[in-house]
Amino acid sequence: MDSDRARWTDAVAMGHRAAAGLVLSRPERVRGTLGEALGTGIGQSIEFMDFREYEPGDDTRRVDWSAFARTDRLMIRRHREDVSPRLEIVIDSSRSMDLPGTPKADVALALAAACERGGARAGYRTSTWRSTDGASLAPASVSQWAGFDGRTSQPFAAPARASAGAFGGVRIVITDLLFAGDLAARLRAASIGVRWVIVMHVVARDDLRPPEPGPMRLEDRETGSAVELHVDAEVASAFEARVDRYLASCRDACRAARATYIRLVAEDVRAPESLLVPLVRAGVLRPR
Amino acid sequence: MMSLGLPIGLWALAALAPLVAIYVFQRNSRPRPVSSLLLWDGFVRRTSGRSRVQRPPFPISLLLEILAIVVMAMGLADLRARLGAVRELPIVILDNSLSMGAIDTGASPPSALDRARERVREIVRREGVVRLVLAEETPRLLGDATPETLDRVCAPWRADAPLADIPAALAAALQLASHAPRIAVLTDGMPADAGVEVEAHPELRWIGVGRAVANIAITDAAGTTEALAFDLRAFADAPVDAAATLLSGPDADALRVASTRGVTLAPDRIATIRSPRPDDGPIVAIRLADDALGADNTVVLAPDDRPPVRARLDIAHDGLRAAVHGALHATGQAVIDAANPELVLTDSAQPEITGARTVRFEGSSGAPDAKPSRSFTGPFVLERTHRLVEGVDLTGAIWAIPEPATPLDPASIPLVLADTMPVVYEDPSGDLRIRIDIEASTVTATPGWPALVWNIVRWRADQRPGLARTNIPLGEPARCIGLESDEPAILVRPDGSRQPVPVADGVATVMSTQLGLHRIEHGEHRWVFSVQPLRLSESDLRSRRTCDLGRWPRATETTGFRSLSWVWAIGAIGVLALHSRMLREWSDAA
Repeated sequence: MDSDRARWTDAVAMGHRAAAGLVLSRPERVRGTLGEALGTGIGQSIEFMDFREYEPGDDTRRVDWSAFARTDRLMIRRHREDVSPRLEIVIDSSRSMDLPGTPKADVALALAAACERGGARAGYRTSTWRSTDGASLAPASVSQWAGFDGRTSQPFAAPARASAGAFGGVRIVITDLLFAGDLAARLRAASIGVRWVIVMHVVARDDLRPPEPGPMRLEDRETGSAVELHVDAEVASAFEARVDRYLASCRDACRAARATYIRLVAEDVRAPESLLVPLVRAGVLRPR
Repeated sequence: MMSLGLPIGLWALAALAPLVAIYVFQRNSRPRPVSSLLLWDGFVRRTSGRSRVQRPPFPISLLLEILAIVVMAMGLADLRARLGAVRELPIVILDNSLSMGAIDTGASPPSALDRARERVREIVRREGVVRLVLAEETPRLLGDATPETLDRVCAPWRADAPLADIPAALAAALQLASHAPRIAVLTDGMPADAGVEVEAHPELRWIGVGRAVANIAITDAAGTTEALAFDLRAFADAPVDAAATLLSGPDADALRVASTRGVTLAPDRIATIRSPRPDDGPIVAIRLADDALGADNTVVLAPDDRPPVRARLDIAHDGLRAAVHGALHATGQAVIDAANPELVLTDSAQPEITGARTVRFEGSSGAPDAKPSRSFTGPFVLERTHRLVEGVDLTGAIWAIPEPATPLDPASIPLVLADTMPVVYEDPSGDLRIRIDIEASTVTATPGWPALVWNIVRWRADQRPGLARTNIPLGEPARCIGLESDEPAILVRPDGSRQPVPVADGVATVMSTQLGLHRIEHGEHRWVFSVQPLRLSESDLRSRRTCDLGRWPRATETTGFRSLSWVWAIGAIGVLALHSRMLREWSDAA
């Protein structure tokens, strides 16, 4: 357990290092409680946006008198609103996310930590959640990660507290998407009221390629069940075809739900300099 | 009962050990954790309970592979099946050469062929079944004969082949035999004459049915439209009187006696008889009185009625024209026809005439800047395989060629080289070029000159449609060229039988085993040729002997084991195919 904690700590530290200088992007018309971040709507911030003609009922404190003196017309100064949008990071905490011999869990935690750090810099009010074997998400902290021990993957469930959630904000789901069911339907449900859903599909290379030829005992990391089969060229070829179809279905489901889909092969992004490249490329993170 | 032909092949069964070991070790599946079995669903057969296990189909595939190895090992070990007591069929080689038709009135029966038939009948009666091989230029398997079928199987044995290659037939018989051959040769000669040592072949029995008798033969015959010449030879130890009758007529069935010539033939000496060609018809036959061998007593000469070659001389140089004209006239096979030539001999660069072959003499250009000719006195290198230089002798000749010589097309075929310089060559179009400065050369004054011109005339004549030769020795092909289409031609033999002959690129090649007049029909055209015996080796009967050499080994009812290699091969293929099919089905099911 101590070694696991050390791993999680290292992963979080790596995420923080990787996120240096990056902020989480904000979607158009992001909403949230009054905060420090500039919204896209009209608000009370000091950030000037434009003028408009005065209309009855407008706050006379916002009349630009100097403009009135020049133009003899009552003009209202409009400023951008200050918002503090919500960022909800959901980590799939099922056992499959910690596949032995792969950096899948480390990458997932590092991504979560980087997004936390980038979101904080962008003025997001961030909350982190972990999936459970139950029907709802549980609050979590990447800096005190309890481990990947779930027997099922339910990363698109609702947060345990109704007051939480990413209403009007951003939801980032870090998962390997290895669960049965209709992904598109779950995504649609999870997108209600959320401005931007980002699915970070973290997989290991071993998830995508067939085992070596020969007799093999495949042990399900989550359920513990096992199968034995003889892997030959035909089986390997069929498996690869199935993986291709599966990846395509994940991408299509995200596209149908207007979610941003980012696939990360853990072994390819395990280094700090490469960890966030796919996120920057997808516009999720941007330089500050 | 089974028997192993090659027991060491059983060592192949040792392959079973590693095969089983592979299966034993392979059955220990390697564990591999996966994130989820979701993507593997369907690859395995579901079983009840938590564990979904599909055992690979090892036992059945292992059984099949073991079976394949066993079958292949049996094949390697040549496992044979016993068929019961089997006797090896004796093989009898039958000499089918012309000399087997020799007659000796002092023997019974007089014909060597009949005596040989009696002997083979005895053998067949004794053995029950005999395999017969006909010895000709190439051996021919007649089939298996019983006393009842012997006459039918032996029908092609008529003593009408130009020769019998006994060693080749013997080799064929040894190939036909399996492990305990018994072979008999029925011929009219001694083993030494055929180059066979009976002592070296314990399985061989040599039965000679020949008789040493004197014989007179026509050993050569030729004719022109005006005269005949034929050679007679006595294969005897003392002088012999012979009478040759000349017959002629419109066809081979309507010949009339034209004259008779008597001659006394010294032993082993050839007498050449010349005679004017009888004018009763185009077909001429020469016939000797009956003697030991009838086949060489008659020669039918087909008419060589090809017209002379029409030649045109376009030669400006007086000396060259005179030399060519004189040589052409001497051939007697060419006429000057300037209007419709088949052969154009020229020393100018005039365009070629359609349908004619050109012989172009490349002499001095006569230009003011022309260099002196270059003369050669030999050695001259002649392409002896080409008929254009057949019999051409340039010894002592001076051959001068003009300088500078015209460049030679790389595709040309040099026929005569003076030193390294081609002086006679065939250009790529098939025409002939002769480089010669006639004034500085002595070639036209040598015997090689008329020979060269003769060859040129024959070369042109042989390119005409039809038969190049009308009198052909038995065993040689007749070649008919220039046929207008590739429709099959028809060969009509002396006995009236007709046989289609394929035509390829306007050429039909026929080979007949019958003596006498043949006819080739193609469309409206008819060509006649004669097949003549004219084989010295067959006519000389003095070394023929009656003998019975060698003894067959006792006919043991041997072995009776038949190799089943093909069964094992098919079995192995079948097992492997089944193995492959089952693996495919298992994969499909997965």
